[in-house]
Amino acid sequence: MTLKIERDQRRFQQIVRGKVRANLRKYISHGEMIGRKNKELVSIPVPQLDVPRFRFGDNGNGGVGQGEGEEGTPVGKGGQQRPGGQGEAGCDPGDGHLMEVDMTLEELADLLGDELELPRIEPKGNAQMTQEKAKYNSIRSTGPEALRHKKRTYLKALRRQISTGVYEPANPRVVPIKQDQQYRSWNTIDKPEVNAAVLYMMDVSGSMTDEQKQIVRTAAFWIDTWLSRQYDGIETRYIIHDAAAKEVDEQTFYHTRESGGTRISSAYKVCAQLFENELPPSDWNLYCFQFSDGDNWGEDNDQAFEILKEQILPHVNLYCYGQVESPYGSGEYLGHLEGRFGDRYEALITAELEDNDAIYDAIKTFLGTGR
Amino acid sequence: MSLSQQLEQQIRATIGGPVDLAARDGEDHLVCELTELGSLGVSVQRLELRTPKLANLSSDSLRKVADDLAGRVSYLLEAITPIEVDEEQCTVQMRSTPPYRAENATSYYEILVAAGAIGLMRYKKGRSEARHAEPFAITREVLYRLVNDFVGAAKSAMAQD
Repeated sequence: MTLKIERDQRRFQQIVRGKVRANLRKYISHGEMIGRKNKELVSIPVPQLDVPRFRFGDNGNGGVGQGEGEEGTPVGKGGQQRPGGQGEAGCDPGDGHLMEVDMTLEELADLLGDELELPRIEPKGNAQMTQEKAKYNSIRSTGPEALRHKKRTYLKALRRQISTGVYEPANPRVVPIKQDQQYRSWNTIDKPEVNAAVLYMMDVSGSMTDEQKQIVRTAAFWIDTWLSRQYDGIETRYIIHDAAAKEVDEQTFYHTRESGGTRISSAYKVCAQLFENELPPSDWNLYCFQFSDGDNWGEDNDQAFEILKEQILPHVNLYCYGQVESPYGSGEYLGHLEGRFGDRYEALITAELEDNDAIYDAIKTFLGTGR
Repeated sequence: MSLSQQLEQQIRATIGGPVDLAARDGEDHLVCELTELGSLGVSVQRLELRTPKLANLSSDSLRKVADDLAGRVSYLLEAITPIEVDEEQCTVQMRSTPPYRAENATSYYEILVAAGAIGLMRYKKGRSEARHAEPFAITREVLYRLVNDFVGAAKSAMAQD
């Protein structure tokens, strides 16, 4: 039988999930929870959940059938005029209060999946790599105190006391001695694992402003959340480029601004090198997400498409290109990319992100393939 | 006779348009493509100064020329500042900052300061379409001033050396 408190808590969680789901587009578009991300939990600001309660009226301050007046006199509102007169500001709190609710990233990913109707990902290949894992499935007579198995220890002590005739049913005291101690122990097993790596590539050239980078950051947060839900361990790599590209950490990825020109091929080269040296496509499910304003310096397109076609597209589960609109309008790379590859590669998905509101649809486009 | 004076002479002698005008002063060569000529103003498709003063300059030096030019050209519809520097091609891209945004289109000036040339055009980019060059209208005086400023900025490159 469930306790009432547990039932109430479940009900509360359902309400919270409903609120988050109702506002999910807003959260996705405005990245409200990105700065609030902990390792496991995300704090989400949801509108205050009001508890319904009775409000008392003006009982006892006059009314129909009381006081002076003649037949036909309109019945006015009773009571005394309140201090402060009409039209003054109230002193009660307004409705705009927010409370923060913690949700796990898994819960958030599930919400995202439900809301965007995202299909579950089918990993490429099955468990091609194994990883050693410790499984606590045996008992030993030595070990650290932290792993002492109390139940087994007392059972052994009881058995010893009975067999030696020390045990008194009238006074059932069981006192373990050193030889009775039992400890949990582990065996090392090989567990098959499906590996996935996500590569983010971003144009940080002079024409990409902080506003565009924020759009990329928000989109990347949701992509990460979804992919992490689909794979146990996920490797994330970041590449930035202007005319030259390099692999960087997450902090640098989102906070670098260069003034160089835009050569997308430079990022593709670094990406292809990573495949070759560290993330062999035969062992990894590879996901690439590239973001740029699409203002590639003209003659670089051919070189970029060549690397994309030969060294990247054949190896990835998904190659998503998001073109973020810069103050100068969306660039022409997207058009050239679609013109060159069309629908020939299932792994190639493109989307245009004019502003924050487009993130929602872009994520749906990127992750809606189930690859 | 300076490039701007030669241009002034040619424009006085020309009626209507479109017309491509060119002027030469020593090794400096000016190309001016006009789509319309009026009594007060002109409509410019492209203005380009080719000069050996900028040839063989490093991207850092070109950046300084671009900064100098940004300080001079302050009288067009929008301020123009360096946006990107392509070291491989030795080119500095300057654009309107911020660009002009109408409801469904964005317009901006773009100046490319390259090794050997300075070129100015204006572009328009509508939603879901490629950008295209758009002639921009300026008075004749502003055009002559632009030419002088291009020449002045190119000379500043020599002063750096």
